[in-house]
Amino acid sequence: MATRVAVIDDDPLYMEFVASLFTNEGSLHAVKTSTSDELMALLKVDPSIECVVLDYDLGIDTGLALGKAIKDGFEDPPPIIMLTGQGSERTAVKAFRIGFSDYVSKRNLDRSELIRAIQGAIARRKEDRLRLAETDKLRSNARFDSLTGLHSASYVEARLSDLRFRHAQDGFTLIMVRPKLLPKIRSDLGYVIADKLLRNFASLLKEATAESALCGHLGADQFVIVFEGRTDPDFVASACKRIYESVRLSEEHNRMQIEIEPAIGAATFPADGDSADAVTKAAAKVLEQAEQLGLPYGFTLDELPEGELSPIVAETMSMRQLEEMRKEARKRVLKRGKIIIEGLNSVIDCSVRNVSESGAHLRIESYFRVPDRFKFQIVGVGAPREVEKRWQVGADLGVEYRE
Amino acid sequence: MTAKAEFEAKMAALSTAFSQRTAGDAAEFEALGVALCKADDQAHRDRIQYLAHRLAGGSATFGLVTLEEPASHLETRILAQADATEIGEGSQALAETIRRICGEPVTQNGGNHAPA
Repeated sequence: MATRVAVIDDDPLYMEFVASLFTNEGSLHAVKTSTSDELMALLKVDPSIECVVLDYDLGIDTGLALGKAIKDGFEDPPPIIMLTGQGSERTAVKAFRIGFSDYVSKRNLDRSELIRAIQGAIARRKEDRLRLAETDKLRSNARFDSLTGLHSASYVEARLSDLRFRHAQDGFTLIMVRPKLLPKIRSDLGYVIADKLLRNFASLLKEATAESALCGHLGADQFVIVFEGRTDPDFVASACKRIYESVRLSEEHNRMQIEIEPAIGAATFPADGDSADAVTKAAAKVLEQAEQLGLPYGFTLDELPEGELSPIVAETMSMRQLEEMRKEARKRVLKRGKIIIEGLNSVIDCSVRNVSESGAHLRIESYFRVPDRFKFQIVGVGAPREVEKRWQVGADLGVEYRE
Repeated sequence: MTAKAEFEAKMAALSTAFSQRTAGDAAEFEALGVALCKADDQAHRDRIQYLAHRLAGGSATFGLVTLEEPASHLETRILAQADATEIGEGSQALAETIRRICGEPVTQNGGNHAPA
């Protein structure tokens, strides 16, 4: 079966040429796309894509910005090869810094070079995956989780198994904690930001947990806190309340205020299960029920029918949606823009990260101090407009339209 | 037909299509060049840049090697924000070069026609 390679080029003739070349010389199959949105949608639904070949200049989009969006937006993105007609060294350096696997010039194109670049990138990815699998195997035996610094899933499982025997009489409480909205943040803003938030959430959780308790990361977005020898409802309620009140993350990323609350569910051994696995599942179920009912946290009590949520917590809360986190409704875009500085007769290329009615978030390719006022144009969308710089952090800047 | 012969036939068809498209672009290079010499316009610059970039990127692949350098030069001058007259004249000169190499665009009934 031919290896599937996604190709994006805004010139249909060139894309057709690349597709024919793949079939003829490399036993590759080109999956053709003509816009960034089309490519991103394809990568989301088709895990069989083993490599992406993209044009540097995609009309109103830049290949560099699109490549970065792929790198940020997928947990295990396929290798990306830039095919460019503007064979500049600077562009190549930028591409490699973002994490492109290779860079091939359209001008004086050596056909076999492109095929070799694709095959090499796919082979390197396979090797990387094998190495990663080895590392994961080693990590699975480690006591601490490398992403969060908390106890690892395997360590927590071993301890729970041990507790089952050591506390057969007095039992233990397992509180499951999950950062709300993180899957949506991961999908909207990418893995890099989501992982950072997960790490910071884990730090808060650790701070909120008593030294005597076992605090671990079960993988994905699930955390557990285990209290040995304590199962009384007052203790469980107060532990849940303390976590709910103290583990709240509030951070700003790309001018968006992100607030994350914990979803909490507690279960006890032996009341909610006769094994560590059963208690963990019971806690996960209660957590989901509490979330569905809009409660801050939930746990089961012996006297209630099986699976019913405790009515102890009377306070209710409405779940905040990610859209409400945004200080201002902004549309995420990846377009090319131009910063036109009239006094200096200078035009600087930039990518447009977000736009709104009142302004935009821009990123320049390398840092320089942008003047306070200049003209800004989104390539292919209307005339240049007067803008005022509101902030600049490194190569990122926010501008507000003046008219 | 062998796979190689099939590929060569496909390449020949793509080269013909590219050559015809480029011949058609000549009229637009010329019209945009004339307009830019009269008045600077960012939209005209963007369009010329797009056409020049497309031509520079594909010309060597599709057998029009001699067009690569002038198309690439014009694109570079636009990126450098060169004067509107220089770009306008460059665009008109490129149109002439295209006509010399590709001939006039072929109409649907097979005859040549002058650009609009």
